[in-house]
Amino acid sequence: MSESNGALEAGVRRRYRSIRDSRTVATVLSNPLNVAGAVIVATVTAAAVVGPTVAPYEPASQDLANRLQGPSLAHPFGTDQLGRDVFSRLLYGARLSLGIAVVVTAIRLVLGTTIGLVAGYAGGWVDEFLMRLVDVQLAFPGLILALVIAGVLGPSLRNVMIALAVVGWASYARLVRGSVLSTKEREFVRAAQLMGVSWPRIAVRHLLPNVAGPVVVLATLNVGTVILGTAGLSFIGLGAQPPTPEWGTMLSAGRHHLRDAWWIVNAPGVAIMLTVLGFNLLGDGLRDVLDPKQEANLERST
Amino acid sequence: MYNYLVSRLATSVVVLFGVSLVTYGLVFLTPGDPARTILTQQLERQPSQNEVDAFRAEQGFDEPIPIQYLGWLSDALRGDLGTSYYTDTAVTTLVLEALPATLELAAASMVVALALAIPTGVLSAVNRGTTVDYASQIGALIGVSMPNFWLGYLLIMVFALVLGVLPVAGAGSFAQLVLPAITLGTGMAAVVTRLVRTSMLEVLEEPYVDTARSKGLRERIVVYKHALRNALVPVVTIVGLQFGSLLNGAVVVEIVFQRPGLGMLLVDAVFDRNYPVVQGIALFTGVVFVATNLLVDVTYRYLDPRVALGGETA
Amino acid sequence: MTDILTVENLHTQFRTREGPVRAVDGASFDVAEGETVGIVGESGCGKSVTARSIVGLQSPGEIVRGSIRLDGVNVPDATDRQLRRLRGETVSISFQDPSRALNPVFDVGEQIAESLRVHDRPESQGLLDYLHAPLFSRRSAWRESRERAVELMEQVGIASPEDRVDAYPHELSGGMRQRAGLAIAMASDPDLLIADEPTTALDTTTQARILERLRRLTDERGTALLLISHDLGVVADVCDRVVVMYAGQVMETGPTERVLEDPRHPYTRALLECSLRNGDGKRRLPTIEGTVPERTDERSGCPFAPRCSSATDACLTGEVPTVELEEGTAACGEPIALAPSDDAPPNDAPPNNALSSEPTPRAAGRSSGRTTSPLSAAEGPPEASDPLRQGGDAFAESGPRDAPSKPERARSASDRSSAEPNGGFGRDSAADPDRAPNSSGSSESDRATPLVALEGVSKRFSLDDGLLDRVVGESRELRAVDDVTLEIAEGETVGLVGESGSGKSTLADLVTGLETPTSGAVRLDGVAVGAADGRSADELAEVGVIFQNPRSSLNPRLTVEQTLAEPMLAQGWDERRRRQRLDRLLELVGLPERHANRHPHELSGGQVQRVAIARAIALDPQLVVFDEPVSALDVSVQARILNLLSDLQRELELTSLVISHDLDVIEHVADRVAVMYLGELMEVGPTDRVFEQPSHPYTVALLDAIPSLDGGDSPIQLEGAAPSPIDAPSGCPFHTRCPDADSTCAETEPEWMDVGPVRSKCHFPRER
Repeated sequence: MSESNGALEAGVRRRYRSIRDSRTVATVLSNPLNVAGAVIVATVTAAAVVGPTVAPYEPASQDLANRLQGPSLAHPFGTDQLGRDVFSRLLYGARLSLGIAVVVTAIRLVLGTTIGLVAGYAGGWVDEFLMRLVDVQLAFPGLILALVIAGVLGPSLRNVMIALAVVGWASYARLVRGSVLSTKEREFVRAAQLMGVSWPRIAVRHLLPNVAGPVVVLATLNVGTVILGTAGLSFIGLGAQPPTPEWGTMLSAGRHHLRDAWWIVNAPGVAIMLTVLGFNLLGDGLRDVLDPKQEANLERST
Repeated sequence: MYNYLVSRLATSVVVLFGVSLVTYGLVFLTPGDPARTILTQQLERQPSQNEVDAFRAEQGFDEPIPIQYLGWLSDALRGDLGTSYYTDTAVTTLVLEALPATLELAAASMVVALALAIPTGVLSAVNRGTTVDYASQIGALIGVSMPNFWLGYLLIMVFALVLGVLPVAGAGSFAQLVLPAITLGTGMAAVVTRLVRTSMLEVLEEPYVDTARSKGLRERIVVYKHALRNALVPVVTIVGLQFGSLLNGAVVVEIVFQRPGLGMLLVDAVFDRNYPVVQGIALFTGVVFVATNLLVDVTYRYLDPRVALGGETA
Repeated sequence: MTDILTVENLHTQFRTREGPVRAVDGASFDVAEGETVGIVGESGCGKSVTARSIVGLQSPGEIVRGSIRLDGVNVPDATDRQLRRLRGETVSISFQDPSRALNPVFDVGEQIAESLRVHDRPESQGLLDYLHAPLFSRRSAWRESRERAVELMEQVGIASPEDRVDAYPHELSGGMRQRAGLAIAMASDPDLLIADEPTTALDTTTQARILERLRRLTDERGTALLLISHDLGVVADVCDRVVVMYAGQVMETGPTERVLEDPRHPYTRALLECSLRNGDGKRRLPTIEGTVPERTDERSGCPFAPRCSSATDACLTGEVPTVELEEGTAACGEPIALAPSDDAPPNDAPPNNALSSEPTPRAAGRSSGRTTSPLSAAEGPPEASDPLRQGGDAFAESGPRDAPSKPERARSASDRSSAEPNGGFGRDSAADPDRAPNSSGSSESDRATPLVALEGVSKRFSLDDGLLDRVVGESRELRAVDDVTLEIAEGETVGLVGESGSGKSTLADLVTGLETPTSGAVRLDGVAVGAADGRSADELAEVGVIFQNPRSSLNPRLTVEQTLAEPMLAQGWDERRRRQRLDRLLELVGLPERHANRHPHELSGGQVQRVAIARAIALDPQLVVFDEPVSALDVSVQARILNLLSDLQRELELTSLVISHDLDVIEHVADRVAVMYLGELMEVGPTDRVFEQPSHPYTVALLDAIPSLDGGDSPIQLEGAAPSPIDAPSGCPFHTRCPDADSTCAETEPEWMDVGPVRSKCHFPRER
């Protein structure tokens, strides 16, 4: 046991060294788009963490005298139909949007990866059954199924999270199963098998590391998708209920004021777009270094 | 090919069976007694126990669940998806009435998307690393990241409210189709542009492209005949699968532009707890989606002669 | 004769993250009208880039200096229009990998017809016309071109071209695809045809036929041919003149005969030395130490100097003069090195030869004084940066064991031959299990049971996939291995040879347990073994495996040390024991200790294969299976790995099964050879005897198909491609292609016949 801990520690240390020295980081940072993605994601994360403490106003404090005020020094993004400060509500919304997105993505990832690993490993009937399950899930357009589930469960943020988690795992399962199947056939896995290395060890040491890259990329991109999905369902009215400062809900409330208060719609719109853009940029950057195909290129160029 | 079709069809039937189970099972997710919930909504007051019992009997809720399901399924197979709780209209009728508006929107968006995406993607790939490439990549990323409900309002503000050249909402005329189609189409265009670019870059590295060049062919023919044809193979697959996300987007876009399509019908039914309609639409989209995938697979086989005549693509 | 092509001082670069790599670095040569010229060199020498530069395909490279005159046009300055005209009329190229050089979505006829149409009307290429858009397409012209395409296909040797014209590339065999590529190239009736490694991806028998066709086509039409190959045999077979390239520069040019018989440049000599077929069977192979340097920085001097034993300090700096010889040229600054080698015929390995297998004092000295070498720090990637490091260290650190001194080796070689008088070790083990094939000469190896015994082993694969197929479809099977009986005695090396698709690798999988036989049994030490997951850890430890592609057989994320520890961990060895074994293994395979912490991508191809070998022998297995151990490696690296194999065989008394499509490899390492065709063994016998006096017509054909350095004699060629193993021919599987076959062969399956020490499965074995 202590020995495997030692090996683990050595592994971690080596991984850290390799990250620090590697061209990987340099490659990611050499593309300005990746840097932009990292900066946006860092900013949104910061807003989610400290936003509520630095926000100038309470998100729900109404000021009917100052309703529908345009952007000004006091209210950088103006006020809404109830006189609430749009900027403060955006900051509070960041925590909500990001939190939901991370939780939902994590559930999808764990669920999907497990199912994919099991299917890829076991093969045969287990694989057949699980993949038909995946097919069934993918047979519904994601948002529509989520909408129906959230609707039947009743409008609330929690139900939106459940709905989005239930509909998104299939792509992970497919990805992981595919990687497991192809990695399983690679010669180094066959070699390990022939040397008498046990299956759990082969899975942990040979399969998982080679499967992890694409999954991380998918998860990063997925955070953006989930943010869009949450906002969309809230916009329809199934997610956060007023007065929760959720970006989709805010946008939905602003649609009645397109003529007289354009900022109410556009402020959350821009916030959603930038956040999702950030995760997409970051995901693309990660793909450049984590994708196995790309890795092969790196190998060749050295 | 024949064998492949048969086995592919068999899989589809299995999947459709699963789809029907999920669709039917959805109702049981509802918290509390569905009959009571529905009646409360319908009557806008607490129903009496007698009323609930009568409703249960009428809807067949007394039967064991598997029997209920089989009854529902056999009706569905005959095209009977039940009747709306509120209007007594057949669900099939409601769906068929709403369908044209949605199909119109989906088709128009697809045209917008492909017309934008293929040339941009090809240009981007051919001019890799230039300003053109970066601009189109950033544009595509913004397109992917843009929530289409916001884009819809943005377009309304600019073209309907400020410029006043196009109508704000509604359905029926061509002018009323333009903004929704652009809203829905650009999002998809962004996805397809990225795909065309990647696919094209990959293909341009292939030795057969050099073979084509070394024949003395014009670069235009090399790119648009030899490379594009190969690059489009994976694109067709994704475009087919994107049809599903078009339906996703259609829900939101129909609400933004107040178009009476399937999406609108579904959202209304969800809020009204009008379960036969919800189930009907869910089943319908599921079937359409499975059928599209099947079609895509077959097309793919036609486009890429290499794909073996047996075995699965995934 | 006027020159059709003149290349002068050509420099082509690649942009990489580490800066520009000079792929072609000042190459000059020319090709006269109708002449056949070969460019040879190891991979990475800039041969293909030169070819691409000539036809103006610059991406991803870029011509930065020099000129290429083709038909009076300077290619680097040519306008798009001029380039198109050159490609459509003057020059054609056929690319290396036939499976990727044809567009998969258009049928072959279309691709040839296109080439014809470009040639006919180079300036009227309408996009819509070429897309066959209705109304815009000139259908009659296309139809006519298609008819001419059929003729062309016939000329390049595609049988029944009327049917094949509609075939997509994936429906053709490798050889057919290469021919189709040739047809595309010949469609424009070029003055110069460039063939880039035209046969590298093909079987030996197909290779011979393609080369023959190439020669005939260019002769008939008076087309000049520029043939690019890493294989000296191929070039010797076909070419009038040879250009030897190294590190992007031309080292030597001259008439083929002169270059082969009297090579002047040290590199040419080295290359000839490494060529396996120069040696007699079991001799230790000469090697070139180090690897081709990747030239990233600005540097002068001879690129070969670091690997050249004739090099002086002057070679490392300054311009390298190109010396005019009586016949041809050589780029070398050392007149002594260039002296005619009357006293040192290249077919032997004289002790003072430029590239003897031993580390010369000079090389050793340089390796220890590496830090002071002007070259050491300057170059980029780890291995290429110091060409001497690998070889030098391998010898320096592995000590006398790995590189025995000359007399010692001579003695062991003679021991070996005296212990194995031809008749004695030649008899088939099935016929006489008492014989002692052990190359070490140990008398302990007289055993009643052979170490490995395959008893009537067959393997069939079902071609029905999918549940439904299994239920409704009629079942189709592929006979991968059919009734194979073969034994391997302890200490013996059996070579398994055959064309691709003959079932060699499946047989290996059956031995290792990756596959289970459909019928028959595989016995290890008398015990029947099953699939790998059914074998105990101890049973698994008895067999070591080396896969074809060393890179993919190592986990890219594990270091050398971790990779080698895997099998030991599986056996539950403790840290200390692992450590000891690791050091020993590195020593055995000639890897310096500091490589232990490297990842596979930081090692060269040869080093990676060394790691794979070390892993396979880590647990001291009784049997080691080598599946195409060197086919993915460069010639000079191949030689080093084969030497390593010989050393290990001798030192560890390894029992091994070596699988290869390359007869030279088998001849070099195997005591006995088994020839396989369509899943069946055709002939089994002692290597020397089989190679000298093959009894089975298939073996004869295989041996004849090897291109020889002597050139000249036209080999017996196999007609047609091997039949599909799905519906294999009745009777003798080889009868459809056999020159000796008669009706008996088609009807009855031959019995095994003893021909001297050889077992032959033929009705009419050749007895001399």
